[in-house]
Amino acid sequence: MIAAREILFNIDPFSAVVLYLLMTLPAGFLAYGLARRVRRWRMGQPEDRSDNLAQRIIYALRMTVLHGRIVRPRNPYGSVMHICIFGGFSTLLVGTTIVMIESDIAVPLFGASFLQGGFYLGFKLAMNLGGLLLLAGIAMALYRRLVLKPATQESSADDLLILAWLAVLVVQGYTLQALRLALTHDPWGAWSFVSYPAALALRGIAAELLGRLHQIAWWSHGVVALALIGYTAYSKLVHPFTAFANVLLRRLKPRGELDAINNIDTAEVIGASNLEHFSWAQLMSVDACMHCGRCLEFCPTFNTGKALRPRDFILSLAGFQADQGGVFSGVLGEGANAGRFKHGRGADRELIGGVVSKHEIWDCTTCGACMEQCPVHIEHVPMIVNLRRNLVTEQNSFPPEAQPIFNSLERLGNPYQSVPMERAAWTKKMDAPVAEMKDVAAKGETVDYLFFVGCVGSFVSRNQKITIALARILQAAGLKFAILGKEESCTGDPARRMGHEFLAQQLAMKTIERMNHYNIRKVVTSCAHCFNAIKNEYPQLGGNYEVIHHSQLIEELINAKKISLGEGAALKQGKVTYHDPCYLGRYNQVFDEPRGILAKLPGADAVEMPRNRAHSFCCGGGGGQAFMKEQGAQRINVTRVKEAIATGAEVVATSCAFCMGMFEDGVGASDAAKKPRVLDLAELVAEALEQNP
Amino acid sequence: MKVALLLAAGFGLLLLSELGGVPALRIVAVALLLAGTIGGGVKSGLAAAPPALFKSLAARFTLAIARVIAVLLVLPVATALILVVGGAAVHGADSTAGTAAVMTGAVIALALLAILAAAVVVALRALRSAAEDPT
Repeated sequence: MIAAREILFNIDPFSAVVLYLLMTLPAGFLAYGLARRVRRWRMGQPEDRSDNLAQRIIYALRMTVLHGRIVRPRNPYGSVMHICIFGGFSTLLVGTTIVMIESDIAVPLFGASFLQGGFYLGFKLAMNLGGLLLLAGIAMALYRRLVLKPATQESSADDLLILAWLAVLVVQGYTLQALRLALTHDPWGAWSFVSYPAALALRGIAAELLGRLHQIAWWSHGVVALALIGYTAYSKLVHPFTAFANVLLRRLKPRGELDAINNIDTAEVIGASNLEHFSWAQLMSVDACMHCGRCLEFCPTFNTGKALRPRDFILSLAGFQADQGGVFSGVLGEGANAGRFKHGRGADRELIGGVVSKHEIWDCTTCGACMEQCPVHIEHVPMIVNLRRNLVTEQNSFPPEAQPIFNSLERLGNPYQSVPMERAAWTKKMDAPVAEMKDVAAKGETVDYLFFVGCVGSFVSRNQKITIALARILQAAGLKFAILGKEESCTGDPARRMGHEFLAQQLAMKTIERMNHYNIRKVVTSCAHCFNAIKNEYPQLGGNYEVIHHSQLIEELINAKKISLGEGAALKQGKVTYHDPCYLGRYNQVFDEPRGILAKLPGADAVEMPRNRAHSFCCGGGGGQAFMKEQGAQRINVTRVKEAIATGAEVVATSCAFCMGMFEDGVGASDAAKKPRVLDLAELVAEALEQNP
Repeated sequence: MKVALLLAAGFGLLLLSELGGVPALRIVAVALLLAGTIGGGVKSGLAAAPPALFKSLAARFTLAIARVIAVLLVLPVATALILVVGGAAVHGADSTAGTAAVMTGAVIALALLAILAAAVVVALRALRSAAEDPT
């Protein structure tokens, strides 16, 4: 006798007809709900995301099915929880599909049954295990939401209902199985190890009663399952579809590259003031949000109590999109989720002001911590910058402190109202002269590197020391380099991040013209923002260069023994901790080279802050925040400085011009008894050079 | 029109397969029905939004149906689980399967009942909070 079971046991043919008919209703409902969402996405701007399809598919499967971005060492509880829910649910779904294939295709069409014997027994075992896995995941999820209540998580009716619904389905499944085993006295019943003991207890009950109960329970299970399928597209359960689609169709360009507005002079709309001004991919991405709250974990604005909470920002857009989407667009998700309707509800709101507030838009430091954490590759920062672009260009609305910055950038090519002629004033403090490109070109010579100093390094006295330190290192290494001097102008990064795209492109094109004029091939810069702009964004406008950050070049020089180091005075004082600048680390994955420098500095005793590398906590200076007034009582830079002080480090090392300023300001504002010194890596190395004649 | 044809054809084939004893047609029938409903769902989903009245009716309808589902549809399973516990209590000692196995079944049934009850409570509270949301 081969192990097997009768499919649709105790179910009459008429009921089977009704079941199959009913099955089609939720399928139609699901299709309707998905189509309504797709309809909304199609209203967005065109964007090509069809390149590298094979690579995209493999990556999407790795990230979703194999949980590549869902399982994170820093979040073991959430990782295990989701594996249990996904693993359990998938097992049961695949198992149900196997039964349907057996009963609807294999047997009737081919007369062959495969759900028997050893395969069938393994199937029963897997299904029972799958149910337990799913229940474990649900229990973990409910415990997290109702007991642990992490600050990054909020629960809506939708979140809780889905968990309860799944639990009911599993319990129904086990109970149905127990009833069937009790009625059939299945000789292999023990393989259904959860239901079998219950079936044994039912054997004393009248068979007719059990039979009737089995039929009613079968119907209730079917209706609950079909209702869940139908509900999928109108709830968070849509995320297997939208999350997969978003990961599949994610942006493949460098994270540090904001899309330029092509033909900006003739563009009808600059930035976004309606949902339709976002691209279709951005509109799809807001529907991919699973409300997990990971974007909040390392967000500087959330962690300092500001208005901007990236998850709420995305959910506000999603809620507005749902309002405009028509019937059955996330009805039950509207309830207690404070993020979605903070500023009102309805389809007729203004996007800026009625859906997302100006405070939220201007709070952002563009650090990218949200995008780094998001399991489904939502791109919060480009959407925020898009809103800024509209505010600045079309509405002339921006924080008042931004006006003098824009004016200075436009008139003088720097944000400090400094005279361009003074850009190279720092070179007077050098022992050896620093060449300028116009002089190099006049002699018909070339250089190894253009040293792009940047506005902060040129005009801010504290940062001039970093510039001088780097120039000394390059001279000590025998590298042939030159600067643009007074021909240098802002890269356009601050203007771009602040939403003034016109100005940003103007500045960028001016700089590109100068660099192309001198046929520049290699650029080194000590500012992480200049580094990102020239490397990732200048190609949009015809500027293609090999760009290296000074930390990368210094490490190369040390490894190639072009410079040798003694023990610098600063490091004799004790420990050093390195702060990863967002525009160097998270945006450009430069983590190891700065640490390599510290490892090679004699006497350096490096300690890591808890939030480091890709999880570095922003200094608060990006996104134009270095020039704007920070909202709220808790300051981002002070928060980060506290973290640095807590390591016991006497020196905080950084490698970004803006980070330097923010850290110096934060240390100054700190009330710590022992305040660390803030030094750039170039300063640490230059000091060590001087100790080793 | 195409949707209606697909549904009609599917329904007809389904009747034939189940009541006429031609099971090989079942998969074809289901495929046609699904094509019809999915096609119809996609077509109406991509069309312009229906009136706002639909949405408010749907919201109330959805919540009401959900409350019914939450209670009524778990009753059959709850009854079965109670029978397991009752059966174990009444017949456990006499069972040919062994008292330990039967009592294990009762424990499992109690655990599943507890999960079911918790799920219903969570669901009803969630639905109530959605209905009462002042915003």
